[in-house]
Amino acid sequence: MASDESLPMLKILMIGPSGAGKSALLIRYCDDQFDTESSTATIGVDFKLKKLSVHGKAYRLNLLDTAGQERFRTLSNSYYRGAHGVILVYDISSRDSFNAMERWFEEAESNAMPGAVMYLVGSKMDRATNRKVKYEEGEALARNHGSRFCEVSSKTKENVRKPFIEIVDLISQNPELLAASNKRAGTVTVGESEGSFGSGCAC
Amino acid sequence: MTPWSGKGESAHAHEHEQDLSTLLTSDERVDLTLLIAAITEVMQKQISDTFDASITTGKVPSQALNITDKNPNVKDEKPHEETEDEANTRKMREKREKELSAPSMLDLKKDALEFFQIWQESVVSRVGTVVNKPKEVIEEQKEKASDNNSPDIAPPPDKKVIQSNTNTENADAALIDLYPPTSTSLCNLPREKREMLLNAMLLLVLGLEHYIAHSRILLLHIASSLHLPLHILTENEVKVAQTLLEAAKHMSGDEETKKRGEENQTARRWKVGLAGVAGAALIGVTGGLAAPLVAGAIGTVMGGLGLGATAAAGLLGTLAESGVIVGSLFGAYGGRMTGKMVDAYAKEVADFSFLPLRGSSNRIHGKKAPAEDRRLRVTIGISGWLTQREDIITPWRVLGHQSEVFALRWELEALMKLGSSLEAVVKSAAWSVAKKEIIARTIFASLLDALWPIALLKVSKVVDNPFSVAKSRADKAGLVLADALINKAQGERPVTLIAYSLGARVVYQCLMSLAERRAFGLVESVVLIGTPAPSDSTVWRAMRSVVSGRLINVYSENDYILAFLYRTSSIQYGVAGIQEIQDVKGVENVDVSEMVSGHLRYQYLVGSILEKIGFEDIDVEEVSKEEETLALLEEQEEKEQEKKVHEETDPDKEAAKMQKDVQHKTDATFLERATEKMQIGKKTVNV
Repeated sequence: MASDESLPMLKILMIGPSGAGKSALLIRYCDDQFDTESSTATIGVDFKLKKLSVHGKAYRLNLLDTAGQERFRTLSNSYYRGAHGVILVYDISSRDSFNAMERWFEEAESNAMPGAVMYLVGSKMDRATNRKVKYEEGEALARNHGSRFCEVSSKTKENVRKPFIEIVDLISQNPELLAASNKRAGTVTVGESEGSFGSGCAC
Repeated sequence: MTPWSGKGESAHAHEHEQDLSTLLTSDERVDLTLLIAAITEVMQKQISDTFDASITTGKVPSQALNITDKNPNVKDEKPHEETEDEANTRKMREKREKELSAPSMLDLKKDALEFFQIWQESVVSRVGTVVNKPKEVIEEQKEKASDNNSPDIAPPPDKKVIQSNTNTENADAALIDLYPPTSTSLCNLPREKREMLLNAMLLLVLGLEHYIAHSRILLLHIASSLHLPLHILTENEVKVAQTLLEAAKHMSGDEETKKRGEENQTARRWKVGLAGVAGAALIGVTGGLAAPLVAGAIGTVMGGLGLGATAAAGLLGTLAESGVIVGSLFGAYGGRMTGKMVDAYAKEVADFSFLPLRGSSNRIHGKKAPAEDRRLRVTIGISGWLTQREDIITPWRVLGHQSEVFALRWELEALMKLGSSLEAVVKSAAWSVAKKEIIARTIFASLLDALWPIALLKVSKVVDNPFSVAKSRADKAGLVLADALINKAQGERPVTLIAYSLGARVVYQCLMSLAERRAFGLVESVVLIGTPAPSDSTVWRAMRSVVSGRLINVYSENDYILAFLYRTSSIQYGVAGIQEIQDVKGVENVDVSEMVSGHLRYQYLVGSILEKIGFEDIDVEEVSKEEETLALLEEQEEKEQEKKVHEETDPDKEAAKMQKDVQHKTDATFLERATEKMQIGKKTVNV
């Protein structure tokens, strides 16, 4: 615990159309909970912190769960900055949500910092009977954008950890990406810590 | 709709029901989030506008239009009369573009925006966490109150009834003018609820563990958008400040250190930039942890406003749990504004200290300010020249009680010397003769052609030296002030700087140094009066970048003394104190030529000037007192002048006499100071 704050912080964004199951995936992953009834739309942006070790190296993940609803688009430029990875989520039982992905990729590619890792996730794979998007279609879309792909079910927990582990793995393979953000983080701390330094002395 | 506005229930009745996420319907929460997004967008635009070459003051709009019309096929078809003007505009524009494309400017812009965006992100995620809270506590709440937990129960008809009549009368003209409201349906809510929202937002931004200038400006925008008058915000700031400090007092430092030690999160938490803030916020909201006294106290205060203890604690995050963090917010328990800092700089600047204006007047340096005098904001007044020692403080008595007011005492002796010399010159016969001559030529001609009346130049030696000395001291003091601010002598609170004459020079240097060191978000508003500093747009753009709120240049075209004194400095860059600042968006120019007949008037006009520019908190009573003083003074001077006119003297002799007088006066103050020092020495010995 003590060394928590010294761990490298990775910022990962979850985006996708409203109702795709971003929040459900996040809550399942972080808190291992799943609520069958409630489906409140996320307002603006919510976030969670989670520690994760990949190949023996620990990271702190700052997971931003963004609102899918169109009206929150004005906010988007404020959370893309400094993001190492973007998880794009669609609902395999909704053709519309899959069709919208092209646009979400576009948004992510134009806003995120160069080299940020994209990861496509098809959610609600427990609804196989109601499936509207084939696994292969998702895979092909991901390939087109040079991103990984998997399907998950927050309800049955299937594959829930997979996208997070893989995206962290991909990010960690790209030292430049890490360095770019650390430089950013550096400038942040300069601004903020100078004050704390002063406060520290006085105590 | 208003069960929570009753006082009784708020703090104790149901622990779990008071929370922003349950107080507001989901639509309202959406609106709140969007409002904040929109406002921060506006604020960001203001920052980038500062660096926009196409924005100029003056008569540009029509010409700008001409240019765009003309661009495709230039010169031929347009009437000739326009061309010269146009060419000028284009030249000016090119000059601005060149100025703005300089690497230093681009860097400054980038850094200013970067700082802003980091802050914006932290605010947006803070709001997000609070507003989306049900997801995190959903299981707990469900057990207890599964049916009334639904946020959608608030009946909508309520709001529509009150809608039409409340809004307009609550609007605060000045506020709306300065911070144009962003349209939101939230302003249709009943007034109590809007007030509650504003409060909640105040607590929420405080939950970021600082109250930087950007946060304060955001709140002003919110107040304006919710059609609430400014005093609601300021009153609450005062209340919250007091409650926080009061409550923090009860938290023993030892206990806290122990607790923190157990958590393995020692003081470090509030050292780590955004990540730390985010983490702390999360813990504060989800944990609630040791349900501290602070939250209880805040809850009691805010109870009447619809926020219970738990809600307040949730909004405040770690601030509600930690006396240490509260302390750092207020500048480490209040001692530092007056204490240690001074010693640290004593070597560099002979005389530099902050004097608190409120509270017991004979408080000794370094003693803690009592909690009732503490505020969430700090205002520092800086005098430019002095005729008596009290002048350090007197002009700033006009500042109101909503902010913690300090007067900066710097280089007392140099300023006294300057003050006496100035007074002597202005009262001299040479000056009254010279003034007529200057008026005939206009001030700018005199400045640029260096055509000053000979009589005046003869007495100039009396003031020139003290002025240069004081000016170079001012430059140093400015750097020290910047240092003090960067080291958070004021705590994590926004600072407003008000200064006249060489005091304004101090602020100018301070802001330039802040810009150079990229210390954004420290300074809320700045009022510079009669500033002996360049009026060049490059300079003011840099200054603007570190001021989040208003940057106001108060000038008078009748300020011959300033022009005269400044003549030996680099006048090619203009003088801010006698002309307006051009082409920088976000710098307000206020012409007080009518009120100000000369540089020596400013000291007595601080109140009236602040009133004129719509400064938010001033003490009206003190302003009228000040006005009386000025009237008296004017009368007296007139009499003296009359006497002098008959005496007609030789300028050389007069100069000599003046020098003697000034020397005499400075000696007197020096003596005074020396004796004072000795007395202080005695006192400390006695103690």
